[in-house]
Amino acid sequence: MKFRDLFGISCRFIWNSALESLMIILGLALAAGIMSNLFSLISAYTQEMKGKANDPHQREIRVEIKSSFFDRRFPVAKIGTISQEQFNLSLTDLNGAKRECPDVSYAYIESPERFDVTDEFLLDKAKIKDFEGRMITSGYFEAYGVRAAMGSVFTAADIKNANPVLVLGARLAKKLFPGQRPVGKKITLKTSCDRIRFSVIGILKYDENYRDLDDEPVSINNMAFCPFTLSSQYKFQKTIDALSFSVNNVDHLRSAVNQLILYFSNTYKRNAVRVHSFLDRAEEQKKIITPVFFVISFFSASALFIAAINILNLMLARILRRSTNIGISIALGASRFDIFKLFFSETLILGCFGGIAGCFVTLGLSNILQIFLSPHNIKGGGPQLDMIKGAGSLIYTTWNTLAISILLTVITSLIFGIYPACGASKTEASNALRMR
Amino acid sequence: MTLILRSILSRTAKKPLRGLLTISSIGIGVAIVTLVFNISFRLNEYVNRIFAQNGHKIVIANAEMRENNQIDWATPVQFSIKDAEILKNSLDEIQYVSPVNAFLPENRILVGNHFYKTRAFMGVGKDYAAVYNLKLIAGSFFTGKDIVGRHPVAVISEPAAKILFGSAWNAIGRIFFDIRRRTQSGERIPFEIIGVYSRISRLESEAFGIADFLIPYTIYGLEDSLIRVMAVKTTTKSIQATRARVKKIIDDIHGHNIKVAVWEGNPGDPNCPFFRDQRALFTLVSIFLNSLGMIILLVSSFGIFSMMMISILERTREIGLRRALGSTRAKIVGHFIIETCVLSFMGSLSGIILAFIFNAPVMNAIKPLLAGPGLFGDVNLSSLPAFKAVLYAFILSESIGIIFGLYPAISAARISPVESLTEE
Repeated sequence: MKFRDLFGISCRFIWNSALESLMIILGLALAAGIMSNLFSLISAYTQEMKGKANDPHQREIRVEIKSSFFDRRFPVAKIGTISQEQFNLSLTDLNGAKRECPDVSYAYIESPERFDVTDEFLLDKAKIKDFEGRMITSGYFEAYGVRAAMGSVFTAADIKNANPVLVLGARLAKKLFPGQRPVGKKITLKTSCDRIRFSVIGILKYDENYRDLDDEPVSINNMAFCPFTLSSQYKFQKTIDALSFSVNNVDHLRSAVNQLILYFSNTYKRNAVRVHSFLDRAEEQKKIITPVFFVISFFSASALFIAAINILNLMLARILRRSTNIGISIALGASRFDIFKLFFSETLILGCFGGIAGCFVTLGLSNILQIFLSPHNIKGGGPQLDMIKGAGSLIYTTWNTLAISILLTVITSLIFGIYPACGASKTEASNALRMR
Repeated sequence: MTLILRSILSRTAKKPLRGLLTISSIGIGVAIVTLVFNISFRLNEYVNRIFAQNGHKIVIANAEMRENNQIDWATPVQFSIKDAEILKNSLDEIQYVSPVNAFLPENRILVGNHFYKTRAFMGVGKDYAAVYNLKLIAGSFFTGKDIVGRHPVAVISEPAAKILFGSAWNAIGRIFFDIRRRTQSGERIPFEIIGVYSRISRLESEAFGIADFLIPYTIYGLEDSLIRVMAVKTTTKSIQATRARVKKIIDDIHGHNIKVAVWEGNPGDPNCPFFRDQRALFTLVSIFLNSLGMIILLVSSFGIFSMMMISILERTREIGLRRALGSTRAKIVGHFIIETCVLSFMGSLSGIILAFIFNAPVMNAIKPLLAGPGLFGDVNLSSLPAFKAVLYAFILSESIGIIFGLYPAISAARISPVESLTEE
């Protein structure tokens, strides 16, 4: 039998019982849609775990003194004994580590700070009571890739002399000084240690990467920056708890972390500092998300299995119904292989239709998933939800996913088509004809 | 009815493979639906258990709630300890009131020669344990005397006691020093541990800000017995109604308008992010898994549909004969609907058995997601599927079976007896 004849006969058989075939095809399509979306979900997560090249938070490495870090999973943690000497990180470490570790591109100090507005005039006019900020060294701006749009950022002298200078985010500057030129303005703010009269020396360029966070205080566009030497801890105790480093490329993150660990264990004793980066967070997330993916994969695979069972069942029933036909064909001289080909091709065509319909289901489901998991629709934050949001923004249907959907259905129908087709080819002509 | 059942049984016995395949197809679908229903029920139960166990735990604060849950604390503080007592006496719904001094974040203590950092340190009243159902496993909680007399005593959590002293009983009578704060005469305060409360889940401790180190609120409290926040256990669910009643009483006491904010959750912060995030996560996981389960059940229902269509095609002659012998159309429809129901029923039964087998591993896999990083085993979830989940999955599969069996049954009834009997 030629391929064209086979195709024609199979299609006619499928068309003759269109409704039941349609149901089987729909089942296959749904299962294939679930499976291929699962693949794109998993690949989105893997991508998210690897880190994004343009996200400065994910390129950051933080080095903290062990005793100043506190793991909130435990109620209490030992930080030392009375006789033990406390050690502190210093600016020398910051520069030394940057010099010694080739993969580290930026080194800076960053500590969060809250600024309370005290000027009556500003309080009345701008209606801002307080805003978030960072006390930093100028390496912060380099690492985050932001430049001043107006005025300038800090100089080394500003940081060394603890000059009361302030650099504002683009949105914050607009809110504080609407319709005015902010650079050169004086503003009195209350920090955690004391009241400082700052002079604004620069406004940062609007950072498009933080557009989604425009209403959140954590966006760079909504923050203010001042030299870290103004912080109470440095002013009174001359101590630094944590240093930050950053790499140019996420791929260098692991080697940079290793170099930093080596540097600090040579400088101080082993395990005196805690080196923490995006990699550790990803590792923790992986532990959580992997079993969940197993469950979802298990469920999705079951869907495909159900669809496959349905095909098997349908084909077995059809063969039984057409046993007289088969008997006549064999009696008329059709070879067993012909019979096998006939039924096998029918299953295969069902599978192909399933795959094609599956592509549409995949597209539909992935659109639903994109909306469902998009950062705008998930309220709340936290490590797990952030991970889901990050992955949600990475879900998209590619040709690969569509190919997976077709491939899966075809392979399934191939595997589950062999048994019924074999059964059909073994039909005894005499038995089949006598059964009537 | 018995006749129908007998005919189904005899046909199944003739073609055991077909019956087996159909039943297993439905069975797997029902098993998955049971599992996902169970996950969402257990999650709901878990959240509700924390929130509503023996009454609702709310916070009454001397503050004003602005939009998007920002709080505006009243300065100077207006609440006093008397207000708390009057509230408790005049409102029946309020069972327990405990002043809370939640403004003691991470602290450092000295035990023996060792310095420790503590997660949370909190000043509380004598009814605090009753408000949050804390069970003491050793020693006792503060008495009114401790509170009034500003005795330096403390109640700590079981995990903290284990880390510091090895066991809960060992902790009783031990002393620790608070090294961040000093008395007005400049001395460090030695606290004596008088009680240890049993372990609570991380979700609970984060949601209600239950500290590991509890001390009388008067020790670092505001002057003149002023308080800012009260932790309250009530019997009513509605926060708005409670707020209105509380505000009226407090305004009456003081004779003028007083800022009152009421919320559920952490006394220090109405937008406790941990709890809000966990709740959002639970909802997300439930919706996602439920829709997945529904789609899978749909796939198995398609299977029922096509099997019924085939079975009707095979039995055209039988149906024709019956119609010829006087069966009404309604009877034929009823016959096939019952057949679908029996198929669904057997499928559901096997699915529920499957669900019982697979429930424990699935719940174990979900646990870490719910507990948060590094908190495995903290979530207490039953390993058996909830009865409600089983029931709902069963009802759903039966009704879907009937819906998908309806079309084949009606098409069977449409068969004309003459045509079907003359047809080859």
